[in-house]
Amino acid sequence: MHRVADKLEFRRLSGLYILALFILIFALWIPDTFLRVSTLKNILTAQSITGVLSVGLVCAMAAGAFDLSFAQAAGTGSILAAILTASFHMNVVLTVVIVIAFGAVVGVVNSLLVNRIGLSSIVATLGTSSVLLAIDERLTNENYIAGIPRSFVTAVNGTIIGIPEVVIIMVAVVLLGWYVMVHTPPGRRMYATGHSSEAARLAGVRTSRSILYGFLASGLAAGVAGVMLLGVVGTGDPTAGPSYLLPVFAALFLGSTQVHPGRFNVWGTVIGIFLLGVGVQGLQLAGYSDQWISDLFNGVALLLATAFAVRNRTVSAH
Amino acid sequence: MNNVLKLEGVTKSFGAYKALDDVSVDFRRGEVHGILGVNGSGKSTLLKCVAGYHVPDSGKAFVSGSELPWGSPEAAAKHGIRFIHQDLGLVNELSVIDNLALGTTYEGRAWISDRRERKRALQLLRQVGIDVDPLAPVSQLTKTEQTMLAVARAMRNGFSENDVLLLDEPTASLSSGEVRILFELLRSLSRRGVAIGFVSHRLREVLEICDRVSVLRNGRCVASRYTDGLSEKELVDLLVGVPLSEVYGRKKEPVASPRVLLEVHGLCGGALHRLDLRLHEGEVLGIAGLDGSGREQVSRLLVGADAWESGHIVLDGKTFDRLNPDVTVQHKVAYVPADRKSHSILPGFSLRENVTLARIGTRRKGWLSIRDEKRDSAHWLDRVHVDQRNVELPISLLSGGNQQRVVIARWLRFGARVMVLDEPTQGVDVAGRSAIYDCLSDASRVGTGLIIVSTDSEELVSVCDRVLVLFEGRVALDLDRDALLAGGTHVLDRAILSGANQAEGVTGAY
Repeated sequence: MHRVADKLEFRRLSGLYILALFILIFALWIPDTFLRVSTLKNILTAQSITGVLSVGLVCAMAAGAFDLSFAQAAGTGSILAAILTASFHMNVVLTVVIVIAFGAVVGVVNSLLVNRIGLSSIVATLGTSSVLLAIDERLTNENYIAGIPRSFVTAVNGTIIGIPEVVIIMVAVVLLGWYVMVHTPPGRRMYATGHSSEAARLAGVRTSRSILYGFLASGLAAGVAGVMLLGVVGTGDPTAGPSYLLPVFAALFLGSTQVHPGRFNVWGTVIGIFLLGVGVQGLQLAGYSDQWISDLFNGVALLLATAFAVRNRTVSAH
Repeated sequence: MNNVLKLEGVTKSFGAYKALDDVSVDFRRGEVHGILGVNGSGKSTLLKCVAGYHVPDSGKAFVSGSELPWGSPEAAAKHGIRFIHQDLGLVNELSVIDNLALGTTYEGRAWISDRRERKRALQLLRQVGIDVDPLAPVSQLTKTEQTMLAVARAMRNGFSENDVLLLDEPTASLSSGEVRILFELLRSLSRRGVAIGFVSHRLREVLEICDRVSVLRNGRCVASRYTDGLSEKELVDLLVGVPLSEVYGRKKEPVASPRVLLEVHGLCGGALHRLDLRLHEGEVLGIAGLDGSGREQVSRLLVGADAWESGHIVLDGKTFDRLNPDVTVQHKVAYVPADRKSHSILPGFSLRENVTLARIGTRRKGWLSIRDEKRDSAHWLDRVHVDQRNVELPISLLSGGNQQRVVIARWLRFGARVMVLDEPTQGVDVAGRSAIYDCLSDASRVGTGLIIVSTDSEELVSVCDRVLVLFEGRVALDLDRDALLAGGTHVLDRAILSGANQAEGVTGAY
């Protein structure tokens, strides 16, 4: 009994309670449009790419690797997929493999810049991000790439027993990320590296390997997200990737106040994503569908949540 | 009215520990006054009281006749008392000029003129007599030049006969040639009437530069006299006190085992010029030495945390020309750093995660079970007598002594065969200390070899089977159990202060 109470402690799961509050508000406000299976499906689908990218970023940030390039890598990945399928008529499986491998390469390059050359991760990934953007622009001439074969779109954007495939992919990635970070030794070592790199090194942890794993995870996630992005949008959109940068970071920092406060963690991030997702979707259904309202909501929610967490920490420290 | 700064009956306690006990010292115009004492004798505390960092429990200070209020750095500065702390307080990335200008106010100036600053800086450097490139960043200066720059900065508002300059261990990281240059500068300042206070424990230097010395021992000022006619031997006697015949009680019989766990040949790096050592199973080996003797570098070099310049280390019969911590850990060599907060524990991690860090894993392959891990780490916490109910608390909430024991539990669980500990009881209270010693002696009883690097002579004498004394980067003396038993801390302190010569003379007498 005590353990259940412990698990549901407000401080660690305040996000879940706020999520419930949101759902209640929208259910009372717009019951006809909000309380539908299609709404749930929409929210899940809309957040699936954010979810996959967030899990990758949790791994990188946990290891102390500040990755700014994942969103652009996903964008360039989707352009790569668009060109491979539309211009070279490559089959779906091979395309997916190549795009994911591309994501892995981005991760490895980032980790080499940090581990071998000694750049700070922010600078390194800012640089690779810009290079990826350049590749993106060069490949597309800043135009949309149309003519994506139907086979690709249906393969990625289909449903399995009524559940959108992208949602299944997200759930799989979330479970994998949680398993690696919480229930394997390398995950623990990544957290140790991000937490105190020198202490971890002196305890025998190979910190450069942790950083490699972190970047690799976020690169792989970007590759997967690139494939999903092309499937969902249906055309190669050179601006689609970078738009994920802010929401993913918002979800991550929101998530670091949840479940395991003070640590970037997968389940906390999932709460963060759906807190923001439900809020935005609900507002849209209630007629506030302007982009600026969503952005304002995301920003204010992030600021409030983290400010609350910081306050809490300083209070408990005294 | 010869004395510029006069301290009367200064007493300062930290809890039950009396760091300063009725200390009276004065600093006179144009005189270089050495404050001497072994580690923990209270000399830093005394300086910190004058600087306004500590407030004494009782006692008074007078500057040129008027009373100096305690606990106010501003008042000390206003009265012309200048400090040079051991770390010098310079900003390495900034240029000489910028460092000299740092902290001066620009009030009433709308435009900060580089040229005006340069002119002032050059004038000051000339005045003090330092020849350095004023545009060079401080990091490119030699250690002596940096120290002299710190002196110049302390004197930037001009100096007069009523000024006092107090230096805390300014020579700790300087070679003897470099020390001479610094001394010339201090001499020239004292000729101009500045009163100079000089905290050190390097005897030869003190005899060379100081007109007068005051010796602190266990928080008391045991002597204050002119250096004329004072010999190094006498000074050592003053510092260490008259040897007692008391024999240190020891619990442990040495393990009679010839197996060598770790061999070091000609290790060289930083201030350490040459280290050879051999660590046997179950042996507790101490390493002592002054600041700057190479003692600070030893532990990090031994575990490969810093690269060494030459020499090699033999582990498990394999010879290494370079090492990384992950390799030493693979060979079951553990490291317990002195800087607990940022090099040893992971502050936000739970006790459980701190204990298991060196070897993460539970029974089942492919699934790290938190429940198994909890049970496992609770067992090891129990072994070092840390309350196992705290297993999920962040380690930062524990006291220093408990944190240290958690780190020791980490390495016991790991199965370390060698543990290198740097200042294992630094900042730990008495009760915590004895608990740590118990953990360590348990470890050595099962054959773990321990290397304890420490500035605490009492600790070394009562815990170690053998102590190596470093002096100017080399092993000056190898004190075995018999010598330690016979001589106690006195023989060790003598060796630490003045190398082999002094101590040999003393050990010979026993």
